[in-house]
Amino acid sequence: MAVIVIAEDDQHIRRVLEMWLKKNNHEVYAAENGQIACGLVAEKRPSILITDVNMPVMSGVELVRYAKEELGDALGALVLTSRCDRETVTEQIATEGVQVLAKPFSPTRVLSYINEMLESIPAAVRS
Amino acid sequence: MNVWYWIISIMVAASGWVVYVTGRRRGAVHPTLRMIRQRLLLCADHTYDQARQLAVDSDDPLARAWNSLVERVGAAGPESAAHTSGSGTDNLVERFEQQRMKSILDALSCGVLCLDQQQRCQYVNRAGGALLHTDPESSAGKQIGEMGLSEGLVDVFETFLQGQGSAGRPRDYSDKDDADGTVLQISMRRIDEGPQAGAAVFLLSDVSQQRQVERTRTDLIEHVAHELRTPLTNIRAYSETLSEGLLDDLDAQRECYNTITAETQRLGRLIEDVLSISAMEIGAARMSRGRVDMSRLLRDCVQDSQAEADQRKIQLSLHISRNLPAVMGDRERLAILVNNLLGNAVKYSDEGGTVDVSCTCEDGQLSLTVADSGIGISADDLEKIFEKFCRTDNPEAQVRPGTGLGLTVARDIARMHGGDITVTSELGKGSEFTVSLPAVTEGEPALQETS
Repeated sequence: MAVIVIAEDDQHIRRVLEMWLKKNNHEVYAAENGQIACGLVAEKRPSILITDVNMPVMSGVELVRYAKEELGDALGALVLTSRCDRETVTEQIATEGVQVLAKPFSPTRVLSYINEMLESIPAAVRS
Repeated sequence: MNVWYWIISIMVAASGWVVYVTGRRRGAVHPTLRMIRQRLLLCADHTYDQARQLAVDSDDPLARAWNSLVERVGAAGPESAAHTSGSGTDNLVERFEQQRMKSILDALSCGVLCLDQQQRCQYVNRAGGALLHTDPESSAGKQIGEMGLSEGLVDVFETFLQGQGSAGRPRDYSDKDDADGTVLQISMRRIDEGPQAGAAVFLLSDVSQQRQVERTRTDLIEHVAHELRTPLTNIRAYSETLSEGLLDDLDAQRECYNTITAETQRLGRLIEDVLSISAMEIGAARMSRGRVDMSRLLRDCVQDSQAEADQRKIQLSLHISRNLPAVMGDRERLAILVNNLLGNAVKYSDEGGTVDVSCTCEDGQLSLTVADSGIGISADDLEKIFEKFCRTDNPEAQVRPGTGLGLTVARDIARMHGGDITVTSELGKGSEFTVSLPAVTEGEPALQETS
């Protein structure tokens, strides 16, 4: 079980992710934009951050930069974006522990990415 | 050259014949005719060296006509006859040729600029002058740097003349300081042989509009791809949720099905908007025209939106004036217009809000109003809401899905029908969109009702 923060402006995507993650016994906190998610990252100190890229108020790229600065190697981030934006996004936030997944995605695939990321987070820094 | 040679020869022969015959008949030769005969002899002997030597010094109508002919022949080229070699007739022919070439090049819609090896302007045609903002007459002979062109453009021409530029595909040039965003396409060719070897010819055309259309198309594709992704993600994720048996609860399952249905409708609306934009760009040519009963159309549209309004507890009302005249136009498109305005009104209203649709007619103009008690639009956003892909900066609006195409389509449709849309709004209080459409006048031929 891990603490996971979701940042996604589409309420249906947010809900379905929450549903799948909770079913897999994760502790989930969801936000509708990057700024609210920043607050959740600081407060809940998640192991995983799942974020959309284009969101009002604060983008996913800014959010990932903030979260990585705040939590370092203890955080794995999964960025959900379009196939065509994938390369640009990867270039912008190419750091250890950041994965990019193209939309439309399968929730099963999201779960397997999360499991991989959780396994790769060094035990020493795991919160 | 041959044609002009013969024309001038025939002209000379005919004039000589007239002078000869007139002289013989009258016994005494008219002084002007005598002078013209002398000038023609100069021509025949090739002993004149300046065009003006052919003019006669008299003011009678015959002399004026002759002098005018000489002047037109003399003005045919920028260089005087003294600079040319060969016979006088050849000089005239050459100038006629130059004049003819100049007329042809000036008639071209693309710009032509010719620079010699010393980077001097040899020639620029009328279109070239307009594109480069320079005067063709005064540019001839000037160094490229003195023609008043932008530094970047001078650099393009100089680089090519110095043999560094490639003569391959035409290149686009746009000046970053140019507020109009003009894009010039420049094709470059070097002259390798003959007396002009080392010079270069540049063909210039204004491709700004073409590039703008290309950009808009790319933006449209990118935007549509982006907008397609969210409903597709939902359809995929919720179907997988159901097929994997993640939910035991029947209500939760029903909610999943509802989400899939709603997202499919969203996808359909997006496709509808894109197709409408595309049809609009093809133009009104394909618009079907018929008598459209607006009362019936409005009732149908309001009925279609009722379910969504009920779901969000929004009170939807419709007021139509009695005996509302019909509108001549395309029923399908007018329905899209009304649905887009209604859809926005419901979408941007909060639970418990109201949406009022009304339609009246005055002085042959139908006035259709869709007023809501929603989140409203700021003064800054009001200026741009009809632009393609525009979504307001209001965070409250951004969380509600939209393509940014609905109002563009609505306004295009209104304008195609000879009408327009206006809007008044206050942030936090609501918006009111008014569509004006010309009503069918009494004398107008009765076309069949399209429905």
